[in-house]
Amino acid sequence: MTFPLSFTERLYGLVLLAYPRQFRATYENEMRLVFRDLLRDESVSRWALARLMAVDLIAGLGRRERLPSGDLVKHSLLYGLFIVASSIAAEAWHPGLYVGVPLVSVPFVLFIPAAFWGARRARSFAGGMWVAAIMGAVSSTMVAWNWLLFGSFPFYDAVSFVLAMALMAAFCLGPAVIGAIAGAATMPYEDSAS
Amino acid sequence: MGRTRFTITSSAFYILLSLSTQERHGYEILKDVALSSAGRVKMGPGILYTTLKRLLEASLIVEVEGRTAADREDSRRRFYRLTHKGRAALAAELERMEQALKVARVQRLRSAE
Repeated sequence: MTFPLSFTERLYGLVLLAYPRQFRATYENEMRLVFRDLLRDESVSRWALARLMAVDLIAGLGRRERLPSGDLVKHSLLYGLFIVASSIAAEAWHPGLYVGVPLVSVPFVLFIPAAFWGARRARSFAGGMWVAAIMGAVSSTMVAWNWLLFGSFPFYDAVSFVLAMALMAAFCLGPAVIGAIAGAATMPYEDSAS
Repeated sequence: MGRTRFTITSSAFYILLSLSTQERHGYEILKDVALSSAGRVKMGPGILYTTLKRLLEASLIVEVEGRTAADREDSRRRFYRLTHKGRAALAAELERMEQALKVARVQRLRSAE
């Protein structure tokens, strides 16, 4: 395309990475055109556009050919369990410090290589995001483990807990996207067929 | 070639309905679907083209040239048209819905008695 792309269009370009390469080869240009039309349509609110982008991302990741293999799920679960174990170990050795160490820094560090590995293994961006999602879901149980094992629940109430988890998921999303993009981008073209 | 079983989802149904009057390109389909479903079905480009691909594979729609000369010059846009098979599938789906509606009305009348 010869026309300049806005930030939102570039963001939508990233969403399209969730779709198989073959599908994108056929429909990507048209999808971008339709998205541009939606962007210019004054009757479509920014919120509606954001919702459509989220739905398209989920639809792309949820395609049958995008679902992770059993092997990928198994490894992702192990990575998640490693974060949980490191959180428990940190709490056992340095009570009270686990929030500052594993909850924040470990996911930041680990989500990049994990998503990179997932993308390379599944030969797609979606593979990296699946690894990050599974790993994130498993590692989020560390709060429950710390509560059960040490009676530690550093949140005021359920709302502050949910907000903290959402914030943490948002923090982990950035490194996951970077890792998945790097993994998908460094695949040799002939090997990254899907 | 073996027959492919195609399940008509609500997105597919409204796309077929939209193409039953004239050939349209992607954005026109999106707008028409939103209109005919009174805003209940809102698709993004991802759902739209995934569904269009399935409809093409099931031979319910085909790609055609644009309606006007300007459309044909704009090679970036693809236009889609309903096939005979697609029209038959839409008619069958509408008949099924009418039948279900009749049953629902009768049952409602009975429960109101």
